[in-house]
Amino acid sequence: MDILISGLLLGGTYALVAMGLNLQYGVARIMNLANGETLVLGALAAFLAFTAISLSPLVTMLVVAPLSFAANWVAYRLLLRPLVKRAKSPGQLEVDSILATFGISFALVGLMVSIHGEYYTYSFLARPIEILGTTVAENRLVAALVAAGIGAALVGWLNFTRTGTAVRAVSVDRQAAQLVGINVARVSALAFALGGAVTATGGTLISTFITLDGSMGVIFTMKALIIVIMGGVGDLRGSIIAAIVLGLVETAVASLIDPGLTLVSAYVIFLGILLFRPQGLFGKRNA
Amino acid sequence: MLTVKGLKAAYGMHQALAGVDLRIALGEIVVILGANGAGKSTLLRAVAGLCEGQVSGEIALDGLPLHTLPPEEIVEAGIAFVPEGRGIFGDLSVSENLQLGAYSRHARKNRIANLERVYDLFPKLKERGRQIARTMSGGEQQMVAIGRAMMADPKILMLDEPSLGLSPLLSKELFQNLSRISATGLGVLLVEQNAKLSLGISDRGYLIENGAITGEDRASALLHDPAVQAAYLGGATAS
Repeated sequence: MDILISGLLLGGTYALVAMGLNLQYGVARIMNLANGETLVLGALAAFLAFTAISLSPLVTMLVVAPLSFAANWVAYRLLLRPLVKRAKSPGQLEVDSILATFGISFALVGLMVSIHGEYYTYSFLARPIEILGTTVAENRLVAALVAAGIGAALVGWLNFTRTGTAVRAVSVDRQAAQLVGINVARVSALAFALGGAVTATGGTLISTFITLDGSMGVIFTMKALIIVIMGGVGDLRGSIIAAIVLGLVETAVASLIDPGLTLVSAYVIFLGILLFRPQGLFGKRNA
Repeated sequence: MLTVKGLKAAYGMHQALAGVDLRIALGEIVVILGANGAGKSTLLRAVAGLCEGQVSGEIALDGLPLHTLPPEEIVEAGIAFVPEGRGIFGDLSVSENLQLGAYSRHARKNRIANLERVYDLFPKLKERGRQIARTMSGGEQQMVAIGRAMMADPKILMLDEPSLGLSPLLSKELFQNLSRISATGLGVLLVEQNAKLSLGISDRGYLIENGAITGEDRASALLHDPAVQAAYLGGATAS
C-alpha cells in the first residue's frame, strides 16, 4: 500500500513532465534532449525564489510557465525551425534535432552550474501527512495534485478547443492537417513552447521533494523519454499510464530491493519496451 | 472563377510544368487528362500551395491572387484539395475528420449546413461517425476525403485521381456524386486516369503532355476525338 500510494504520487508528477516532452516530440517532431535541463531550470528558479524571498514554488510556477513558454518559442523559431525547413525526411529531422538540442542541453547545464553550483535543496511543506493509512510527505502530495490538475486542463484543452484540436491533428498527420487549412509551422511552435512550459512547471513541482543540481537534467530527459516511448509517441493517455507505471516500479524497486537501482529498473523497462513493443504500450502501428 | 496563367514548376533541373494556362468556373466540372508524369499532380499541388518544387506563374480565385499565399490561406480562400491517397486523418474517427475539415475560419460559420450537405450526399458517413477512418474500405475512405474537403466550404474542389483503387461500380458512384456536388455550385477540377467516366460527367477537359496543355475542348467533343480515344480511351471507338 505504501508503494502504491508513493508510486502513484511520483508517477503523477512524472506524467506532467512526460506530457511536456510528448508535445515537443509528438507534435513538433523535435526530440528535445534539453528537456531535462528545462525541468532543472524550473527547479532552479523555484529554489532561488524560495531561498531569496521565501516565495512558494506554487507561486514561482506562475512566473516560470510563461517564461519557459516564451523561451521555448524563441528557441524553436530561431534554432529548430531552420532544421525543420531543411529536413528532407523525418529521420533527418530527428538526427538534426537530437544533435542541436544536445548542444543546447550542454549550454544550459553550464549556465545553471555558473548560477548555482551546489545542490538545490529547500524545505517546502516537508511534513508528514497521512492518506489511506500511508504516511507521505505533504510536498509530494501537493506536487502530484497540482500536476494532475495541470494535466487534466491540458487534456481538456487538447480535446475541446479549436487550437487544441489543431495540435492533435498535426500530431496525427501533418499532411492532412495542412489540407484542412492548419498552419502546421505555427502549431508546431505552439506545441513546442507549451511543452517547454509544462516541463519547467514540472521542474518547480519536483524541486519541492527531490534534491537536484545543475547537471541532473539528463536523468529526467531519459525518464521522460522512457515514458513517452512506453506510452506511445503523441499519445497523451499512454504517457499518463506509462508515467504511473514508471513511478510504481521505481518506488517498488527502491523500497523492496535497493534505492540505488531505481534508474536501472527504468532502463530495464525501456529495453523491454524497445525490444518487444517499439510502438508503445497502446500504439497501433509502427511509426 | 479560378484562373491559372503561365504556371511553371520545377523539381531541381526537372521541369514538371512548362507554363500552364487554365480556368474553371463555379458549377463547372473540368477534367485534366494526361499520362503518368505529365504534370497533372504537380499542377493541382501547385494550386493548393503544396508543391515542393520551385513554382512561378499566376493563380487567382475570383481575382484574389493565390500564388503568394501559404497553403492554409489557400484553403481559407476557398480551394479544397483531395490528394492522391486521400490524405485523411487515418487514426481519427469519421466525424473528427469532418469536424477538422471545417477548421478554416470561414468554414466554421457554415459547418452545420455543410455537415448536412455532406450527410445528404454520403448517408453512410452519418452512420459510421465513430468509426476510425483507417479501418474503412477504399470507397468509404474516399467519401471521408471528399466529405472533409466539402466541410472546408470551398468554391473549387480539386481531386487527384479520386477513382484510383476503386472498383468500376464504386468509380461510377463517385463520379455521379461529383456531378451532384458541382450542381450545388462548386467548381470541380479533377485529374483522372479513368478518361471515359470522368469525361462523361465533365463539362470541359484539358489534355496535358510533358508539363504543357496540348488541347482543350468540351468534354463531349473530347470523348469523340480520335486522338483522345487512341491515347486515353484504349482506342475504343465510342459510337
